[in-house]
Amino acid sequence: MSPRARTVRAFVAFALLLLAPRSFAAPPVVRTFDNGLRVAVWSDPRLPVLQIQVLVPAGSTQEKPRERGAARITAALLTLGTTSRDAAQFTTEVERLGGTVAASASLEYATLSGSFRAADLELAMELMADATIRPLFGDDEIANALADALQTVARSRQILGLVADEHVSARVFPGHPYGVPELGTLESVAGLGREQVQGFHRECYRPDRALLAIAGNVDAERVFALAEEHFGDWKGRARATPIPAPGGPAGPGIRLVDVPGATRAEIRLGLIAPGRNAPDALALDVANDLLGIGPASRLNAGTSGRTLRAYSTLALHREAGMLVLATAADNDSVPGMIDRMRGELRRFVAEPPSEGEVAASRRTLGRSFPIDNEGLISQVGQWLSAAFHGFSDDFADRHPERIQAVTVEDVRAVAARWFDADHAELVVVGAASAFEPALARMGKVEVVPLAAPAVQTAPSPAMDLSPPGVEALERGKALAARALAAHGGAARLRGIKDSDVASEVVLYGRGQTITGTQREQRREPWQLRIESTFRHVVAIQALNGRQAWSAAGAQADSILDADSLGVAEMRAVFLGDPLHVLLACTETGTRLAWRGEDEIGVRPTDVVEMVTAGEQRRVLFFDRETHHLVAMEDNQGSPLAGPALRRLFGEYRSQQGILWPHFEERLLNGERTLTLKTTQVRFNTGLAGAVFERPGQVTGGHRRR
Amino acid sequence: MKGTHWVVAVGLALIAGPAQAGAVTGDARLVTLKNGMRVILAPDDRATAVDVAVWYESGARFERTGKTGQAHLFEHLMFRGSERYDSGEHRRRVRAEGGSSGAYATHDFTCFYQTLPSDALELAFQLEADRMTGLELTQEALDSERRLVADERARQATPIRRGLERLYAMAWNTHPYRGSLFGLERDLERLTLQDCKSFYRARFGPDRAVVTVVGHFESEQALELARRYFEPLKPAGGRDQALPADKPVDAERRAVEPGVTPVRIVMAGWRGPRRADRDWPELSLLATLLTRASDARLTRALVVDPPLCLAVQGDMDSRRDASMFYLAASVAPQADSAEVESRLFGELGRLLVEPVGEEELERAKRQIETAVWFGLQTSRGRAQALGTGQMLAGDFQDLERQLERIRACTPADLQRAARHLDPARRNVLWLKPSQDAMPTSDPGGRP
Repeated sequence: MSPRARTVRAFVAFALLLLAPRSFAAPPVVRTFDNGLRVAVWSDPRLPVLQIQVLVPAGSTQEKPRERGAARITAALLTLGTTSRDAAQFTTEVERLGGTVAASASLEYATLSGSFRAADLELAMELMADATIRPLFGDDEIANALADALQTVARSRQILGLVADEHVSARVFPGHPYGVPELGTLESVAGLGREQVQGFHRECYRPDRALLAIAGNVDAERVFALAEEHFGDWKGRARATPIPAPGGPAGPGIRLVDVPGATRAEIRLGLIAPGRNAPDALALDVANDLLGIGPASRLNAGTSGRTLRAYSTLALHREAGMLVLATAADNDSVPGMIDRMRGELRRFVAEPPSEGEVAASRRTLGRSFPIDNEGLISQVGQWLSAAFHGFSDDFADRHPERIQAVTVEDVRAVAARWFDADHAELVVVGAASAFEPALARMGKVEVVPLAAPAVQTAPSPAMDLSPPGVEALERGKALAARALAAHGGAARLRGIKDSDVASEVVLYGRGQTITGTQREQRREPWQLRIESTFRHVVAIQALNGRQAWSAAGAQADSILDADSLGVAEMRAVFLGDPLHVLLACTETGTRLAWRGEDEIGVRPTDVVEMVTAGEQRRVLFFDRETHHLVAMEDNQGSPLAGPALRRLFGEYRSQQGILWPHFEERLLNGERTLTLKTTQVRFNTGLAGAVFERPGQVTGGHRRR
Repeated sequence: MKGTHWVVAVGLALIAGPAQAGAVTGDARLVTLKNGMRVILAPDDRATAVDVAVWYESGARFERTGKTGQAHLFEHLMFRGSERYDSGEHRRRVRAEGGSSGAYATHDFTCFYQTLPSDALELAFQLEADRMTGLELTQEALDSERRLVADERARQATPIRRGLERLYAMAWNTHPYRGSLFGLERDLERLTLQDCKSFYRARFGPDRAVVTVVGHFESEQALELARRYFEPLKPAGGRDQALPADKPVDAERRAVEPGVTPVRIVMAGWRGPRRADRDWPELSLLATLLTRASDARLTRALVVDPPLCLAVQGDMDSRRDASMFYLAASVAPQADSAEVESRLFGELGRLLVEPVGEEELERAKRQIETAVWFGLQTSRGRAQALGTGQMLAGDFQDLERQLERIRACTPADLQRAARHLDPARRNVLWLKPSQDAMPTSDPGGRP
């Protein structure tokens, strides 16, 4: 080598020392805004791009029991319009910048990610803030998102690996949010509507526990200023449902999900593990790598030279984690595979890894970390995850060195503590007939059909059709009696012989509204007239004893007679006002059963199922404090079985000693269909029978149902 | 003193800062070794890894008739060991250093890559040099990989991939591009160990290879390693015979393929210029403009109003000797096929008489640029850009030039490029569900 070349080489080496590579993922500049939002910024001038990510602790573990599946749907709706841009406009604006925006939710949090050119920083920040804070929740978008979610859940039942993963989580975390499928179930998703999705956003998408990360060719101060401008007005405190430490698996047990005719089976062995912050976490990462990740891992290498083609995964959440050994096998290999997997777990404890093996794994894991996280998107994602779990801002930078500090004793200790083959939950998804006897020799087997959800979500109180117990019946009766008293008392209610209620009506549908008026007149017994006027078009429906008729048109002069079914429908409407519903609670033969608690708006309520002697079922919601009837619902017992019509009552005022709602909102499957604002209520005015009589001429035949 | 001043100047230049922001290739340079191997060095002191990839001129286009499928087969065989390393040991050693490795084959080249911590650079050179001329090919390895390839063929047969294969078969008469990368099943079955050894000797020498070294490393050290490990390797020698010119397409060709998709899919493809030629970047921009936005022309015409299709996509497939501009639309169950074609081709015809608007052109440019820049975030991504440029256009700075041309592209340039989409030269393929099966044209796709 020439002297000149030697000099160049030496100087290059020296210069590179001076330019010592920035330590991997140099910590960002981090500030916390007054609203609690933590903002992190990295300036990286190498490429003219910009990455913005928002993390909100709005994962499926924050869902209330009746919100299962809402986290993912809410996240999906973030990019489908805001209050200032409809879905098409939002998409067009992102595309015009050449950018992309995507949102997703997992077990613990939701993220919104945007990739843009650095030159578009200001617009990008505004778009991301708008989507996070002010999503539109348009009617069509919600309907499509719910339909998509149902399809996704249905399709997931066909992917046996996913089915196995869901069931093993449910077994390892029984009764715990970590055990509930992130997608929800068919039943739970079918029961979701605007109320749940928008409510989830309202309660969970708040700044106090949220994180905002920006990386790219940007000036940090400018970024902070823009973040303050666009996210500074974001207010409130997020729902922070505490996630308890799990109680541990119920088993060990064996769950066999039957897929008749399958020729291969998915096998999972699940074990509980500590949380991400636990002292054992890093050593477990190393142990998992040695057990089932690398090509030389125990599961891969097999015993006696056989290749198991099994692998292991370790998921460490905040409160706890789960280690899963997984594989797929032909039916005749299933029992043998299970034995070998359990055998490897035992062997890991009995014949733990050597110093050399641990050193090799440490080396691999520590050195691969910077490579796996080389790009902006990965680096930002790493910081967000670390910050969510409460790690310091230099977590990514220090992670490789922390891995190197794991000793062989640490690995042996965690294996002894957590790799308990005898208490692993076993899940097999395949043809039960092929190997159930063999599994039965291993332990008690629970066989469930493929269609069964991994976790039985309790039906909402309103959908509960189970036979009520004695206590529930007594409680239901008592609650109804209190409600009756709160509304004026049975005697006063029975004293109402006629009523005349006028209202302003608004109809809702496909983003449009139509306003009109309605007058509802009742007279005991069995006389009812409902006259509605919309844009000068009058429609009348009437019941007069055993007859019913309707009329419509500008002059309401075309009249149709109802058949017997039409009469029955009108009689049901007659009995459907709050007054008659409350009186029905006192009738002999009516069964009242307390079904649980729920919330209407933010008011806690008692849910009481009412079934009349005529088998008419209705669900009543009584405010727990005032005992007012705040809602009632007609449903089929399951959102999959049929529609649910809910009527919400508010603005109660006393009228002649009777408490009467001056506002009503009707929802069909959670979507608002109409509102009624009462303008006048009168009782016992002496309505004449002629009001309900069918006017003269008949045209057409019987009323079409 | 002069030498000292020179050293200080070099040092200051090095200290001055990283490569100009926005530059694709940065400080990349190409060095040719004595045995013909080309080495592209692209250091980046801010990278956290180094990517070493070897690109061989061993794609499917180099296969002989009756011996198709070898290029793809070698994507797997190159990991089956040598005298020095056991089967699979390459991957294990890379992983042991914390790295990752992989390979893929195309019609023009195969690429073998690893991304590692910088201090494992020499290992990458050792491993690649070893298998470049020292691969141990056995009957057992051949038989085993042949079975795996059959599995892979079945798994990767998405409707669009199958459709694209068929379009190539229709659009070319004799060029090897008309064949599948997986090769013909009968060829694979008949392939012998000797065939494989011949292909290996002919296509995997250092003079058939380009090595890219990208990321955090010292250039002089890398060059020294290249000279130490690669330069002594004997070149494969020989010259590639030029392929005879393929007869141009002068009439529309149509075909129907039944039973491969749950919904109808219509695909249209045109032979296009080579990646290095004029109009390639313009056609690439046109594909983006036509399909990659919620209100892109074809999306509006076919998916939005009226909703004749469920989705539409398009691209400019990039190959060395020629490319294919293609469009594909999944057709809604109730839509009329003739109307779909009419609207699809009607929009293309409109391009010739009505220049695109400035705003939609700028949007498409930004979409491409943003995607390119994000693809260059990692050492692997940058290596991919440099290597494909070298292999397909003979220029590792090709992506830089493509971007310049895209930025400079005007509506008139797009109109000029759109003339390649001549109805008389198009190939139209309908993929239909099995219950809609109709007689198809001959396997060559000629009407």
